[in-house]
Amino acid sequence: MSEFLDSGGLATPAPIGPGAAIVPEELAGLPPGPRPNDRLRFPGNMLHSLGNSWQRIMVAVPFGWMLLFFLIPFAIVLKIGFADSVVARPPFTPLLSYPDGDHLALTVTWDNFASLWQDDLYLRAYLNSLKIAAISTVFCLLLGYPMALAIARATRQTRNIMLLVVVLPFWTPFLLRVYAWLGILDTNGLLNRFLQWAHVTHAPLQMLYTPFAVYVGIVYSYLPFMILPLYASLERLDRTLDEAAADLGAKPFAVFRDITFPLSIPGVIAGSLLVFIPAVGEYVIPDLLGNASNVMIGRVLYDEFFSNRDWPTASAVAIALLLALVIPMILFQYLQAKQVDAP
Amino acid sequence: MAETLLRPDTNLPAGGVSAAIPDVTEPWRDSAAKPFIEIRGVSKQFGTFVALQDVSLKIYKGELFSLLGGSGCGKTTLLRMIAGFETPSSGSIIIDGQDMTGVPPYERPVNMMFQSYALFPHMSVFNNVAYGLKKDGVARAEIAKRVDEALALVQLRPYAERKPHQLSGGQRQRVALARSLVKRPKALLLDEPLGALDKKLREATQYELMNIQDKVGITFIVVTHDQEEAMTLSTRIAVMDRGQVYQVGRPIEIYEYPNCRFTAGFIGTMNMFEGVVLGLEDRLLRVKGKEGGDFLLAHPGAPVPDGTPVWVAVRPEKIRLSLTPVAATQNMVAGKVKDLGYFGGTTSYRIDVGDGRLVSVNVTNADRALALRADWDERVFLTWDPASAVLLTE
Repeated sequence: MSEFLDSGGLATPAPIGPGAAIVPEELAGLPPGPRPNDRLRFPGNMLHSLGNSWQRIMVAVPFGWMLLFFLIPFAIVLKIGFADSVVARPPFTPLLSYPDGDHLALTVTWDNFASLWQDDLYLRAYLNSLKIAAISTVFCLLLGYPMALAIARATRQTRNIMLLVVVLPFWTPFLLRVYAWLGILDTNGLLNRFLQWAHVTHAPLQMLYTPFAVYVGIVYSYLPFMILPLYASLERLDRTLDEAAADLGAKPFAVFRDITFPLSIPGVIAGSLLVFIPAVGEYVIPDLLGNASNVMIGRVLYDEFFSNRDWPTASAVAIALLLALVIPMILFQYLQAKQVDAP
Repeated sequence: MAETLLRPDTNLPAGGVSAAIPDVTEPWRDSAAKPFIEIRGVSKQFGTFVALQDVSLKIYKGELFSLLGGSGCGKTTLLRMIAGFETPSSGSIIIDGQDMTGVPPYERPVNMMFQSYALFPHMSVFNNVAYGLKKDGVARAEIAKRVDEALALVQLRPYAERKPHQLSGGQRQRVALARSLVKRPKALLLDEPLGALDKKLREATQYELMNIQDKVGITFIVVTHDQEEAMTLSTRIAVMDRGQVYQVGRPIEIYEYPNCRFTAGFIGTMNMFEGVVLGLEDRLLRVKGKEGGDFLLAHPGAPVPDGTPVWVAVRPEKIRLSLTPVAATQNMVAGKVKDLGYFGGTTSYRIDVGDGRLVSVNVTNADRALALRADWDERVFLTWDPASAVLLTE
């Protein structure tokens, strides 16, 4: 106590030993007598603390949301991931139990995670998912960038119409749109009939239930998620920068390469993440348009949960997927923040 | 030399201006001189809006030529046409003997400094300045050398590795200047170069800009709405309004000999008296004032038939103010002091000469005892010399 008071900077040295004066914390270091500004500061403090509590509420809402709908479910999945599979209801062993009636026992198993490494089904599915998602993202970027650029450079009226066209597919259910591709890509589908009518091919091509169909489905479904953030970042660009570059001798393509594209990279990253992340875990599209030999991780997850009723393995698959996506993102964010801070 | 007088830059060595720009004292007076940039009958329409109407200008090598006018007068459109960002609806632009019709901006031998500076935010100061040289395929070592020179010229050498957002407004302006100068263009186009700076910095930068132009000897074409800026900076000014050029001339010509009511009113303050030409009188022109009084003034040169409606224009500082009636039969107007402002060196009066018509008068306070010559509501008499007034016919 006396040490604390000394460091508080009392005007008179505090007596040491029994009977030392106990000074209220907030008065330490202040001369005796009424403190100035006490009255004056009061309403200001009230307002300040009110503002503080509002700030807390504003922060608490998204935090509570994350807690309720992400962290708690994730904790449950994590818990299941460390349990053993049993034929029971629920189909996994409890983490905490009283095996002999009076001792609490914690049963944790790493087997589920270990099996992800042992059985190459999982690894292949992961890699396949990453590959399909990555290639789809590249195609979304290649298709979406010119579209976003065209929208950003269009006149105000055309721009709104073009944006509406981009968003329009969302007004029909996702599943219906994927089903529509069945009709297009089928051996007797629209595309094959058109190709034969145009004499490009003589016999129908097998397009459905191939990786090609999966790519078409994913690129089609996720293209708006690429276009919108790209458009947002391209639309913000100052066109006088283009003029300045042209004035300094840059031909139109050089202007794009040196100015437009580098300045739109935040949009490229945002769009790519919005396509890549859900595409890795995509279940419906490969299930409807793909074939069984090219399994993606979403399919594996579904099978473990519903066909095998092996909830612990399914949970381990889900956790591994989450970590595989989140860790590179955190790393990326960290590196980017570091780059921005650098002089 | 008038420009030397108008450039109160004490940092320059005596005669520095004329020494730095050799053969460009007044090339526009020489009919044989070849213009460096020629604008021939250029018009521009945006839909139904006429931005430029048959504009012709001749700009000579080494000039600091200003396009002066209010917003929407077409000055920026004209500058953007020289840079190649707009194409004329008709007419042509010739730079150094080469017709620029159909030549894209990236192939034109001119560079522009944008009003917003348009610095590339993702590039360092060095790379911003180096950009134009890189596009020209200049060798790396040469680029480094020339960028360094350009940054030294604008005193920004220590800032080469900074990003534009780490610089102040004045520093950004100088980076923009360095970037547009580093390619050694045949002409530098400056769009409101000082517009984004605060007043104090603007004045300092104004003289710096002139110094730099003297050093590099490149032709500058400046767009500005600020008449003081144009007067101080320019070798010549083109006064523009509603897509037309009203007058082209040296600052002193524009100020002392405006050729039309627009120029007279736009540059500084001008008092105008309406009247009708009575006739010639001993080489001077006599004008009968519409509101009474006779005016006598120098003949404008071009013949003016008797009976022509005209305006007699007099600058506030050229009017003498007297408290006692003056025995003059012409160039004399009586009135009452309505407003006065004492500015120390000068006192500015506004005199009501009847029917609420106001005449501005500036009196230099050369004599301390007479500093405040007339008080509010006092009756005063205004006179001026025939040589001080200008005749305007339109």
